[in-house]
Amino acid sequence: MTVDYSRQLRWLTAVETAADDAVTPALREMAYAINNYKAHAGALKILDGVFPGAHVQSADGLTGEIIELILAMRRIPDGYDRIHWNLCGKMNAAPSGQTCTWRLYSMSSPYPPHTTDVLDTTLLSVYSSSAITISSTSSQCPAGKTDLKLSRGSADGTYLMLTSQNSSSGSGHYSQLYSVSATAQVLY
Amino acid sequence: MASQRITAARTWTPIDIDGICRNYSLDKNGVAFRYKATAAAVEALVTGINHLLAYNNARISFQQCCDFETRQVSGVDPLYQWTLNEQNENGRVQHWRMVIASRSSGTGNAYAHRYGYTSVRTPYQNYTAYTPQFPADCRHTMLEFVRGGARGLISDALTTVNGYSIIDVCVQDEPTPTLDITIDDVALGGAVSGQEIVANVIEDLRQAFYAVRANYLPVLFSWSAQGATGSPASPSAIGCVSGSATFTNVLDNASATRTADSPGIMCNALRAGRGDPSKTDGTKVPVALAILARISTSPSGTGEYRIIGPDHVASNQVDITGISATTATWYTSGSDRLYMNSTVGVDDVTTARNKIDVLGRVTNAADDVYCYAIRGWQTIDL
Repeated sequence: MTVDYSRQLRWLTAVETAADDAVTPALREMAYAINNYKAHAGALKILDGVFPGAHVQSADGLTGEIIELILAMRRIPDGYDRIHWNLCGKMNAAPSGQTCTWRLYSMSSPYPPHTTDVLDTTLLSVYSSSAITISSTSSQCPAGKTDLKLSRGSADGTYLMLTSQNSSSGSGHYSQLYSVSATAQVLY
Repeated sequence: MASQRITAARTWTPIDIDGICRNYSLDKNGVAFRYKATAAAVEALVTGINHLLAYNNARISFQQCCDFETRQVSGVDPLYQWTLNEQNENGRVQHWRMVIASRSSGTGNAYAHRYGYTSVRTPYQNYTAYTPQFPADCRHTMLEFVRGGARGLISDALTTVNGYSIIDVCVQDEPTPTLDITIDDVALGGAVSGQEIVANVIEDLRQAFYAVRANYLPVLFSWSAQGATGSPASPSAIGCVSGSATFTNVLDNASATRTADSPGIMCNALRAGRGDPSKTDGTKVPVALAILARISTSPSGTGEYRIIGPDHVASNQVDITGISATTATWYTSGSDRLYMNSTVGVDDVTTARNKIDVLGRVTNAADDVYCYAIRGWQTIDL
Protein backbone atom coordinates (compact mmCIF):
# COMPACT_ATOMS: atom_id res chain seq x y z
CA MET A 1 0.00 0.00 0.00
CA THR A 2 1.35 3.40 -0.95
CA VAL A 3 -1.08 5.84 0.58
CA ASP A 4 0.32 9.35 0.75
CA TYR A 5 -1.16 11.61 3.45
CA SER A 6 1.58 14.19 3.62
CA ARG A 7 1.38 15.70 0.15
CA GLN A 8 -0.32 19.07 0.58
CA LEU A 9 -3.08 20.33 -1.67
CA ARG A 10 -2.11 21.44 -5.17
CA TRP A 11 -4.79 23.47 -6.91
CA LEU A 12 -6.03 21.99 -10.15
CA THR A 13 -7.45 24.11 -12.95
CA ALA A 14 -10.69 23.03 -14.55
CA VAL A 15 -10.50 19.75 -16.45
CA GLU A 16 -11.56 20.62 -20.00
CA THR A 17 -10.34 17.85 -22.25
CA ALA A 18 -11.19 14.18 -22.49
CA ALA A 19 -7.60 13.03 -22.96
CA ASP A 20 -6.27 10.39 -20.59
CA ASP A 21 -3.20 12.53 -19.92
CA ALA A 22 -5.35 15.24 -18.37
CA VAL A 23 -7.60 12.85 -16.45
CA THR A 24 -5.01 10.69 -14.74
CA PRO A 25 -2.93 13.46 -13.14
CA ALA A 26 -6.15 15.12 -11.96
CA LEU A 27 -7.37 11.93 -10.31
CA ARG A 28 -4.03 11.28 -8.65
CA GLU A 29 -3.72 14.83 -7.36
CA MET A 30 -7.22 14.71 -5.92
CA ALA A 31 -6.51 11.41 -4.20
CA TYR A 32 -3.46 12.87 -2.48
CA ALA A 33 -5.43 15.95 -1.49
CA ILE A 34 -8.33 13.95 -0.03
CA ASN A 35 -5.95 11.81 2.03
CA ASN A 36 -4.15 14.97 3.18
CA TYR A 37 -7.41 16.66 4.17
CA LYS A 38 -8.46 13.63 6.22
CA ALA A 39 -5.16 13.37 8.07
CA HIS A 40 -4.17 17.01 8.39
CA ALA A 41 -6.11 19.93 6.91
CA GLY A 42 -9.48 18.73 8.21
CA ALA A 43 -8.34 17.07 11.44
CA LEU A 44 -10.55 17.89 14.41
CA LYS A 45 -9.25 19.85 17.35
CA ILE A 46 -10.87 18.02 20.25
CA LEU A 47 -9.55 19.92 23.26
CA ASP A 48 -9.06 23.66 23.42
CA GLY A 49 -8.51 24.63 27.03
CA VAL A 50 -7.40 28.23 27.62
CA PHE A 51 -7.04 29.47 31.19
CA PRO A 52 -6.21 33.18 31.57
CA GLY A 53 -4.26 33.82 34.71
CA ALA A 54 -3.36 30.12 34.75
CA HIS A 55 -6.41 29.44 36.89
CA VAL A 56 -6.32 25.65 36.37
CA GLN A 57 -3.77 24.33 38.82
CA SER A 58 -2.69 21.12 40.50
CA ALA A 59 -3.63 20.46 44.10
CA ASP A 60 -1.31 22.12 46.59
CA GLY A 61 0.18 19.75 49.13
CA LEU A 62 -0.74 16.51 47.41
CA THR A 63 1.31 13.98 45.43
CA GLY A 64 -1.48 11.68 44.32
CA GLU A 65 -2.84 11.77 40.77
CA ILE A 66 -5.73 14.24 40.94
CA ILE A 67 -8.48 14.67 38.35
CA GLU A 68 -8.53 18.29 37.14
CA LEU A 69 -10.68 18.33 33.98
CA ILE A 70 -13.52 16.02 32.94
CA LEU A 71 -14.76 16.63 29.41
CA ALA A 72 -17.93 15.84 27.50
CA MET A 73 -17.84 13.32 24.68
CA ARG A 74 -16.11 14.26 21.43
CA ARG A 75 -17.34 12.33 18.40
CA ILE A 76 -14.38 11.34 16.25
CA PRO A 77 -14.96 10.04 12.68
CA ASP A 78 -13.54 6.72 11.60
CA GLY A 79 -9.93 6.76 10.44
CA TYR A 80 -8.32 8.58 13.36
CA ASP A 81 -6.11 6.56 15.67
CA ARG A 82 -4.08 8.99 17.73
CA ILE A 83 -4.28 12.23 19.66
CA HIS A 84 -1.54 14.83 19.39
CA TRP A 85 -1.52 17.19 22.38
CA ASN A 86 0.49 19.77 24.23
CA LEU A 87 0.17 22.31 27.01
CA CYS A 88 1.58 25.54 28.36
CA GLY A 89 2.06 26.16 32.08
CA LYS A 90 4.48 26.76 34.89
CA MET A 91 5.37 25.72 38.40
CA ASN A 92 4.36 28.01 41.21
CA ALA A 93 7.36 29.48 43.01
CA ALA A 94 9.20 26.41 44.34
CA PRO A 95 12.76 25.13 44.93
CA SER A 96 14.32 23.75 41.78
CA GLY A 97 13.69 20.12 41.08
CA GLN A 98 9.99 20.15 41.80
CA THR A 99 7.81 19.06 38.92
CA CYS A 100 4.24 18.35 38.07
CA THR A 101 3.12 15.67 35.62
CA TRP A 102 -0.04 16.32 33.64
CA ARG A 103 -1.69 13.29 32.04
CA LEU A 104 -4.30 13.29 29.31
CA TYR A 105 -6.61 10.28 29.17
CA SER A 106 -8.70 9.11 26.24
CA MET A 107 -11.49 6.77 27.40
CA SER A 108 -14.26 4.86 25.68
CA SER A 109 -16.80 5.78 28.39
CA PRO A 110 -17.07 8.53 31.03
CA TYR A 111 -15.24 8.36 34.33
CA PRO A 112 -17.87 7.46 36.90
CA PRO A 113 -19.01 9.94 39.58
CA HIS A 114 -16.50 8.77 42.15
CA THR A 115 -16.55 10.23 45.66
CA THR A 116 -12.98 11.51 45.48
CA ASP A 117 -10.98 13.39 42.87
CA VAL A 118 -8.00 11.11 43.43
CA LEU A 119 -7.86 9.01 40.28
CA ASP A 120 -8.83 5.36 40.73
CA THR A 121 -7.56 3.53 37.65
CA THR A 122 -9.73 0.51 38.44
CA LEU A 123 -12.72 2.65 37.48
CA LEU A 124 -11.40 3.42 34.01
CA SER A 125 -12.95 1.79 30.98
CA VAL A 126 -10.87 1.10 27.88
CA TYR A 127 -8.36 3.92 27.92
CA SER A 128 -4.89 5.20 27.11
CA SER A 129 -2.92 8.03 28.59
CA SER A 130 0.09 10.18 27.89
CA ALA A 131 2.09 12.52 30.15
CA ILE A 132 3.83 15.90 29.91
CA THR A 133 5.89 17.28 32.79
CA ILE A 134 6.23 20.91 33.86
CA SER A 135 9.37 21.84 35.76
CA SER A 136 9.99 25.59 35.36
CA THR A 137 8.66 28.48 37.41
CA SER A 138 8.61 30.55 34.23
CA SER A 139 6.02 29.93 31.55
CA GLN A 140 6.93 26.67 29.84
CA CYS A 141 5.51 24.94 26.78
CA PRO A 142 7.18 21.51 26.69
CA ALA A 143 7.38 19.37 23.59
CA GLY A 144 3.96 18.00 22.75
CA LYS A 145 3.14 14.31 22.64
CA THR A 146 2.07 12.16 19.70
CA ASP A 147 1.77 8.84 21.51
CA LEU A 148 -1.76 8.98 22.92
CA LYS A 149 -3.92 6.31 21.36
CA LEU A 150 -7.53 7.21 20.73
CA SER A 151 -10.03 5.11 22.69
CA ARG A 152 -13.59 5.27 21.40
CA GLY A 153 -16.92 3.87 22.49
CA SER A 154 -19.75 2.54 20.38
CA ALA A 155 -20.94 6.01 19.35
CA ASP A 156 -17.48 6.88 17.97
CA GLY A 157 -17.03 9.11 20.96
CA THR A 158 -14.02 9.58 23.18
CA TYR A 159 -14.05 11.00 26.70
CA LEU A 160 -11.04 13.06 27.65
CA MET A 161 -9.79 13.66 31.16
CA LEU A 162 -6.79 15.62 32.46
CA THR A 163 -5.04 14.81 35.72
CA SER A 164 -2.13 16.32 37.62
CA GLN A 165 0.48 14.84 39.93
CA ASN A 166 2.96 16.91 41.93
CA SER A 167 6.39 15.53 42.75
CA SER A 168 6.36 17.24 46.14
CA SER A 169 3.79 17.60 48.90
CA GLY A 170 5.42 20.79 50.10
CA SER A 171 3.23 23.86 50.35
CA GLY A 172 3.32 25.95 47.19
CA HIS A 173 4.85 23.19 45.05
CA TYR A 174 2.06 23.07 42.49
CA SER A 175 1.68 23.73 38.78
CA GLN A 176 -0.57 26.13 36.86
CA LEU A 177 -1.80 25.78 33.29
CA TYR A 178 -2.29 28.52 30.70
CA SER A 179 -3.56 26.19 27.99
CA VAL A 180 -3.96 22.59 26.87
CA SER A 181 -4.68 21.49 23.32
CA ALA A 182 -5.39 18.18 21.53
CA THR A 183 -6.07 17.19 17.91
CA ALA A 184 -7.19 13.85 16.46
CA GLN A 185 -4.65 12.35 14.06
CA VAL A 186 -4.36 9.51 11.58
CA LEU A 187 -1.60 7.04 12.29
CA TYR A 188 0.56 6.43 9.19
CA MET B 1 -39.66 18.34 -5.52
CA ALA B 2 -38.46 16.08 -2.70
CA SER B 3 -34.75 16.29 -2.02
CA GLN B 4 -32.65 13.35 -3.11
CA ARG B 5 -30.22 11.77 -0.69
CA ILE B 6 -27.33 9.39 -1.07
CA THR B 7 -25.60 7.29 1.57
CA ALA B 8 -22.04 8.12 2.56
CA ALA B 9 -19.51 5.56 3.77
CA ARG B 10 -19.09 5.63 7.54
CA THR B 11 -15.71 3.96 7.46
CA TRP B 12 -12.67 5.71 6.05
CA THR B 13 -10.66 3.93 3.38
CA PRO B 14 -7.34 5.59 2.54
CA ILE B 15 -7.15 6.18 -1.20
CA ASP B 16 -4.31 4.12 -2.62
CA ILE B 17 -4.32 5.68 -6.06
CA ASP B 18 -1.25 3.95 -7.51
CA GLY B 19 -3.00 0.65 -7.77
CA ILE B 20 -5.94 1.97 -9.80
CA CYS B 21 -4.70 4.99 -11.68
CA ARG B 22 -1.35 5.70 -13.28
CA ASN B 23 -0.05 7.15 -16.55
CA TYR B 24 2.20 4.33 -17.66
CA SER B 25 3.11 0.80 -16.75
CA LEU B 26 5.62 -1.77 -17.98
CA ASP B 27 4.51 -5.01 -19.56
CA LYS B 28 6.43 -8.28 -19.12
CA ASN B 29 8.73 -7.38 -22.00
CA GLY B 30 9.73 -4.11 -20.31
CA VAL B 31 7.75 -2.03 -22.74
CA ALA B 32 5.84 0.96 -21.42
CA PHE B 33 2.18 1.13 -22.30
CA ARG B 34 -0.36 3.75 -21.46
CA TYR B 35 -2.74 3.15 -18.59
CA LYS B 36 -6.21 4.47 -18.82
CA ALA B 37 -7.89 5.98 -15.82
CA THR B 38 -10.44 3.58 -14.42
CA ALA B 39 -13.93 3.92 -13.06
CA ALA B 40 -12.61 2.42 -9.83
CA ALA B 41 -10.39 5.44 -9.34
CA VAL B 42 -13.32 7.82 -9.76
CA GLU B 43 -15.47 5.81 -7.37
CA ALA B 44 -12.70 5.76 -4.75
CA LEU B 45 -12.58 9.54 -4.87
CA VAL B 46 -16.36 9.84 -4.72
CA THR B 47 -16.47 7.59 -1.65
CA GLY B 48 -13.72 9.58 0.02
CA ILE B 49 -15.27 12.99 -0.66
CA ASN B 50 -18.72 11.95 0.55
CA HIS B 51 -17.27 10.38 3.69
CA LEU B 52 -15.56 13.69 4.48
CA LEU B 53 -18.79 15.62 3.88
CA ALA B 54 -20.89 13.29 6.00
CA TYR B 55 -18.54 12.47 8.87
CA ASN B 56 -15.44 14.69 8.95
CA ASN B 57 -17.64 17.71 8.45
CA ALA B 58 -19.26 17.03 11.82
CA ARG B 59 -17.12 19.85 13.11
CA ILE B 60 -16.64 21.03 16.64
CA SER B 61 -17.80 24.65 16.43
CA PHE B 62 -17.05 25.55 20.03
CA GLN B 63 -15.68 24.01 23.20
CA GLN B 64 -14.89 25.46 26.59
CA CYS B 65 -13.85 23.73 29.79
CA CYS B 66 -12.96 24.80 33.30
CA ASP B 67 -11.97 23.07 36.47
CA PHE B 68 -14.52 22.41 39.19
CA GLU B 69 -13.42 25.33 41.35
CA THR B 70 -13.75 27.86 38.54
CA ARG B 71 -17.24 26.89 37.38
CA GLN B 72 -19.91 29.56 37.42
CA VAL B 73 -22.46 28.91 40.17
CA SER B 74 -24.93 31.61 39.17
CA GLY B 75 -26.87 31.92 35.94
CA VAL B 76 -25.08 33.95 33.24
CA ASP B 77 -26.79 35.31 30.14
CA PRO B 78 -24.91 34.54 27.95
CA LEU B 79 -22.25 32.41 29.63
CA TYR B 80 -20.16 31.59 26.54
CA GLN B 81 -20.05 33.24 23.10
CA TRP B 82 -18.44 32.30 19.81
CA THR B 83 -18.42 33.25 16.17
CA LEU B 84 -17.60 31.18 13.12
CA ASN B 85 -17.56 31.25 9.34
CA GLU B 86 -20.17 28.54 9.05
CA GLN B 87 -20.15 26.62 5.76
CA ASN B 88 -22.78 23.98 6.46
CA GLU B 89 -26.15 24.70 4.96
CA ASN B 90 -29.49 24.09 6.61
CA GLY B 91 -30.44 20.83 8.16
CA ARG B 92 -27.49 19.90 10.36
CA VAL B 93 -28.34 18.44 13.75
CA GLN B 94 -26.13 20.01 16.37
CA HIS B 95 -25.35 18.56 19.79
CA TRP B 96 -24.26 20.74 22.69
CA ARG B 97 -22.79 18.15 25.04
CA MET B 98 -21.96 19.21 28.58
CA VAL B 99 -20.53 18.02 31.83
CA ILE B 100 -22.42 19.75 34.61
CA ALA B 101 -22.18 19.89 38.37
CA SER B 102 -25.06 20.01 40.82
CA ARG B 103 -25.87 23.55 41.76
CA SER B 104 -24.91 24.75 45.21
CA SER B 105 -27.70 27.25 45.67
CA GLY B 106 -30.69 28.75 43.97
CA THR B 107 -34.35 28.04 43.52
CA GLY B 108 -36.41 27.80 40.37
CA ASN B 109 -35.74 25.70 37.31
CA ALA B 110 -32.04 25.40 36.53
CA TYR B 111 -31.05 24.73 32.93
CA ALA B 112 -28.90 25.89 30.03
CA HIS B 113 -30.29 27.09 26.74
CA ARG B 114 -29.14 28.41 23.44
CA TYR B 115 -28.92 32.19 23.79
CA GLY B 116 -32.11 33.75 22.49
CA TYR B 117 -33.93 30.41 22.24
CA THR B 118 -35.28 29.38 25.64
CA SER B 119 -37.03 26.40 24.08
CA VAL B 120 -33.68 24.95 22.96
CA ARG B 121 -32.56 23.84 26.39
CA THR B 122 -31.21 21.06 28.55
CA PRO B 123 -33.32 19.03 30.95
CA TYR B 124 -33.84 20.78 34.26
CA GLN B 125 -31.24 20.19 36.94
CA ASN B 126 -33.09 21.37 40.02
CA TYR B 127 -31.26 19.34 42.61
CA THR B 128 -29.31 21.57 45.02
CA ALA B 129 -26.40 19.79 46.64
CA TYR B 130 -25.48 20.74 50.19
CA THR B 131 -21.82 20.88 49.17
CA PRO B 132 -21.19 19.84 45.55
CA GLN B 133 -18.34 17.35 45.26
CA PHE B 134 -16.11 16.57 42.30
CA PRO B 135 -16.56 14.31 40.44
CA ALA B 136 -19.39 12.74 42.50
CA ASP B 137 -21.86 15.54 41.68
CA CYS B 138 -21.01 15.68 37.97
CA ARG B 139 -23.05 14.25 35.12
CA HIS B 140 -23.20 14.33 31.34
CA THR B 141 -26.09 15.93 29.51
CA MET B 142 -26.91 17.41 26.15
CA LEU B 143 -29.22 19.64 24.17
CA GLU B 144 -30.01 18.99 20.53
CA PHE B 145 -31.57 21.01 17.76
CA VAL B 146 -31.63 21.29 14.00
CA ARG B 147 -29.46 24.23 13.08
CA GLY B 148 -30.84 26.23 10.21
CA GLY B 149 -29.45 29.17 8.32
CA ALA B 150 -27.35 29.78 5.29
CA ARG B 151 -23.60 29.85 5.08
CA GLY B 152 -21.68 32.81 6.41
CA LEU B 153 -20.32 34.46 9.51
CA ILE B 154 -22.53 33.51 12.43
CA SER B 155 -22.49 34.14 16.16
CA ASP B 156 -23.93 31.87 18.80
CA ALA B 157 -23.98 31.66 22.57
CA LEU B 158 -24.98 29.58 25.59
CA THR B 159 -26.93 30.85 28.60
CA THR B 160 -27.30 29.32 32.06
CA VAL B 161 -30.23 29.91 34.40
CA ASN B 162 -30.71 29.63 38.16
CA GLY B 163 -27.35 28.20 39.14
CA TYR B 164 -26.90 25.67 36.34
CA SER B 165 -23.14 24.92 36.55
CA ILE B 166 -21.11 23.80 33.55
CA ILE B 167 -17.68 22.14 33.71
CA ASP B 168 -17.32 21.57 29.98
CA VAL B 169 -19.32 22.18 26.82
CA CYS B 170 -18.66 20.84 23.33
CA VAL B 171 -20.77 22.09 20.42
CA GLN B 172 -20.51 19.64 17.55
CA ASP B 173 -22.50 18.89 14.42
CA GLU B 174 -23.83 15.37 14.13
CA PRO B 175 -22.66 13.25 11.22
CA THR B 176 -25.13 12.93 8.33
CA PRO B 177 -25.08 9.35 7.06
CA THR B 178 -27.12 10.46 4.06
CA LEU B 179 -26.33 13.59 2.08
CA ASP B 180 -28.76 15.87 0.28
CA ILE B 181 -27.52 16.23 -3.29
CA THR B 182 -29.01 19.71 -3.63
CA ILE B 183 -27.26 21.37 -0.69
CA ASP B 184 -24.37 19.21 0.49
CA ASP B 185 -21.76 19.66 -2.31
CA VAL B 186 -22.05 15.94 -2.91
CA ALA B 187 -19.77 14.07 -5.31
CA LEU B 188 -21.98 12.04 -7.61
CA GLY B 189 -19.41 10.09 -9.61
CA GLY B 190 -20.85 9.02 -12.94
CA ALA B 191 -17.96 6.86 -14.08
CA VAL B 192 -19.00 3.50 -15.55
CA SER B 193 -16.72 0.51 -15.63
CA GLY B 194 -15.60 -0.28 -19.16
CA GLN B 195 -16.46 3.16 -20.51
CA GLU B 196 -14.15 6.07 -21.09
CA ILE B 197 -13.85 8.62 -18.29
CA VAL B 198 -14.99 11.93 -19.70
CA ALA B 199 -13.94 15.38 -18.66
CA ASN B 200 -17.21 16.50 -17.08
CA VAL B 201 -17.08 13.60 -14.59
CA ILE B 202 -13.64 14.68 -13.45
CA GLU B 203 -14.60 18.34 -13.39
CA ASP B 204 -17.66 17.61 -11.20
CA LEU B 205 -15.42 15.67 -8.85
CA ARG B 206 -12.90 18.45 -8.74
CA GLN B 207 -15.54 21.02 -7.83
CA ALA B 208 -17.03 18.79 -5.13
CA PHE B 209 -13.68 18.18 -3.49
CA TYR B 210 -12.59 21.79 -3.66
CA ALA B 211 -15.83 22.84 -2.00
CA VAL B 212 -14.88 20.57 0.91
CA ARG B 213 -11.25 21.62 0.99
CA ALA B 214 -11.97 25.34 0.76
CA ASN B 215 -14.96 25.62 3.05
CA TYR B 216 -15.09 22.89 5.66
CA LEU B 217 -12.05 23.71 7.72
CA PRO B 218 -11.58 23.38 11.47
CA VAL B 219 -11.52 25.91 14.27
CA LEU B 220 -7.87 26.07 15.33
CA PHE B 221 -8.19 27.92 18.64
CA SER B 222 -11.00 29.18 20.80
CA TRP B 223 -11.61 30.66 24.22
CA SER B 224 -14.61 32.29 25.83
CA ALA B 225 -14.81 33.98 29.19
CA GLN B 226 -17.69 33.28 31.55
CA GLY B 227 -19.91 36.19 30.65
CA ALA B 228 -18.95 39.37 28.84
CA THR B 229 -19.52 42.16 31.34
CA GLY B 230 -16.89 41.56 34.00
CA SER B 231 -14.12 44.02 34.85
CA PRO B 232 -11.43 41.76 36.24
CA ALA B 233 -8.28 43.37 37.65
CA SER B 234 -6.16 40.50 36.30
CA PRO B 235 -6.64 37.69 33.74
CA SER B 236 -9.22 35.19 34.91
CA ALA B 237 -12.08 33.01 33.75
CA ILE B 238 -14.33 36.09 33.54
CA GLY B 239 -12.06 38.00 31.18
CA CYS B 240 -8.65 39.39 30.35
CA VAL B 241 -7.69 43.00 31.07
CA SER B 242 -5.07 45.19 29.42
CA GLY B 243 -4.45 48.65 30.88
CA SER B 244 -1.01 49.57 29.63
CA ALA B 245 0.05 51.52 26.56
CA THR B 246 2.58 48.73 25.92
CA PHE B 247 1.44 45.43 24.43
CA THR B 248 1.30 42.72 27.11
CA ASN B 249 0.19 39.10 26.98
CA VAL B 250 -3.48 38.76 27.92
CA LEU B 251 -3.00 35.37 29.61
CA ASP B 252 -0.50 36.61 32.21
CA ASN B 253 -0.76 40.41 31.80
CA ALA B 254 3.02 40.48 31.93
CA SER B 255 4.91 39.03 28.95
CA ALA B 256 5.74 41.67 26.34
CA THR B 257 6.98 39.43 23.54
CA ARG B 258 6.20 36.07 22.03
CA THR B 259 8.80 33.40 22.72
CA ALA B 260 8.75 29.63 22.38
CA ASP B 261 7.53 29.37 25.99
CA SER B 262 5.47 32.50 26.58
CA PRO B 263 1.83 31.88 27.57
CA GLY B 264 -0.12 31.08 24.45
CA ILE B 265 -2.72 28.93 22.76
CA MET B 266 -1.49 25.84 20.95
CA CYS B 267 -2.81 24.30 17.79
CA ASN B 268 -1.81 21.66 15.26
CA ALA B 269 -1.43 22.64 11.61
CA LEU B 270 1.11 20.10 10.43
CA ARG B 271 0.84 19.51 6.64
CA ALA B 272 -2.37 21.52 6.46
CA GLY B 273 -1.08 24.05 3.92
CA ARG B 274 -1.17 23.94 0.15
CA GLY B 275 1.55 23.69 -2.43
CA ASP B 276 5.19 22.81 -1.93
CA PRO B 277 6.19 23.08 1.77
CA SER B 278 9.78 23.79 0.78
CA LYS B 279 8.53 27.16 -0.50
CA THR B 280 7.24 29.94 1.75
CA ASP B 281 3.64 29.86 0.55
CA GLY B 282 3.55 26.11 1.13
CA THR B 283 4.35 26.58 4.81
CA LYS B 284 1.41 28.92 5.42
CA VAL B 285 -1.90 27.78 6.91
CA PRO B 286 -4.09 30.90 6.87
CA VAL B 287 -6.26 31.70 9.87
CA ALA B 288 -9.03 34.28 10.23
CA LEU B 289 -9.46 35.84 13.67
CA ALA B 290 -12.14 37.34 15.87
CA ILE B 291 -12.01 38.89 19.34
CA LEU B 292 -14.90 39.80 21.62
CA ALA B 293 -13.87 42.91 23.48
CA ARG B 294 -14.90 46.20 24.99
CA ILE B 295 -13.21 49.25 26.43
CA SER B 296 -13.93 50.76 29.82
CA THR B 297 -16.74 53.29 30.09
CA SER B 298 -16.14 56.90 29.03
CA PRO B 299 -12.89 56.02 27.27
CA SER B 300 -10.19 58.53 26.42
CA GLY B 301 -8.79 56.33 23.64
CA THR B 302 -9.26 52.88 22.12
CA GLY B 303 -8.08 49.32 22.71
CA GLU B 304 -5.90 47.16 20.48
CA TYR B 305 -4.97 43.51 20.26
CA ARG B 306 -1.98 41.95 18.54
CA ILE B 307 -2.14 38.27 17.72
CA ILE B 308 1.28 36.81 16.98
CA GLY B 309 1.87 33.48 15.29
CA PRO B 310 4.89 31.28 14.52
CA ASP B 311 7.95 33.00 13.07
CA HIS B 312 8.39 30.75 10.02
CA VAL B 313 7.28 33.80 8.03
CA ALA B 314 8.31 37.38 8.76
CA SER B 315 5.98 39.75 10.65
CA ASN B 316 3.43 37.01 11.26
CA GLN B 317 0.99 39.06 13.32
CA VAL B 318 -2.42 40.62 12.99
CA ASP B 319 -3.44 43.82 14.74
CA ILE B 320 -7.07 44.38 15.63
CA THR B 321 -7.39 48.04 16.48
CA GLY B 322 -9.95 50.70 17.18
CA ILE B 323 -11.78 48.89 19.98
CA SER B 324 -14.15 51.59 21.10
CA ALA B 325 -17.38 49.82 22.05
CA THR B 326 -18.18 49.98 25.77
CA THR B 327 -20.22 46.76 25.60
CA ALA B 328 -18.73 43.48 24.36
CA THR B 329 -18.54 43.50 20.56
CA TRP B 330 -16.97 41.17 18.00
CA TYR B 331 -13.97 42.57 16.15
CA THR B 332 -12.57 40.52 13.28
CA SER B 333 -9.34 40.45 11.31
CA GLY B 334 -11.24 41.19 8.09
CA SER B 335 -9.11 40.07 5.15
CA ASP B 336 -5.93 39.95 7.24
CA ARG B 337 -4.57 36.49 7.97
CA LEU B 338 -2.36 34.95 10.60
CA TYR B 339 -0.33 31.97 9.35
CA MET B 340 0.19 28.71 11.18
CA ASN B 341 3.19 26.60 10.21
CA SER B 342 2.54 23.51 8.11
CA THR B 343 6.07 22.13 8.61
CA VAL B 344 6.07 21.54 12.38
CA GLY B 345 4.10 19.26 14.68
CA VAL B 346 3.06 19.57 18.29
CA ASP B 347 6.48 18.40 19.48
CA ASP B 348 8.30 21.45 18.11
CA VAL B 349 9.82 23.66 20.82
CA THR B 350 11.08 26.61 18.78
CA THR B 351 9.51 29.97 18.01
CA ALA B 352 8.32 28.36 14.77
CA ARG B 353 5.87 26.25 16.76
CA ASN B 354 2.13 26.56 16.23
CA LYS B 355 1.40 28.72 19.24
CA ILE B 356 -0.39 32.04 19.15
CA ASP B 357 0.13 34.75 21.72
CA VAL B 358 -2.50 37.46 22.20
CA LEU B 359 -1.27 40.80 23.45
CA GLY B 360 -3.40 43.80 24.34
CA ARG B 361 -2.90 47.49 25.00
CA VAL B 362 -4.76 50.77 25.20
CA THR B 363 -3.89 53.99 23.40
CA ASN B 364 -4.59 55.98 26.57
CA ALA B 365 -3.37 54.60 29.88
CA ALA B 366 -6.45 55.97 31.62
CA ASP B 367 -8.51 53.21 29.94
CA ASP B 368 -8.74 49.44 30.25
CA VAL B 369 -9.63 47.08 27.42
CA TYR B 370 -11.28 43.74 28.22
CA CYS B 371 -11.22 40.60 26.09
CA TYR B 372 -13.96 37.99 26.54
CA ALA B 373 -13.41 35.62 23.62
CA ILE B 374 -10.75 34.72 21.08
CA ARG B 375 -11.44 32.71 17.92
CA GLY B 376 -9.27 31.50 15.05
CA TRP B 377 -10.50 29.32 12.20
CA GLN B 378 -8.63 27.96 9.22
CA THR B 379 -9.29 29.41 5.77
CA ILE B 380 -8.03 28.60 2.28
CA ASP B 381 -7.19 32.08 1.05
CA LEU B 382 -3.61 33.15 1.48
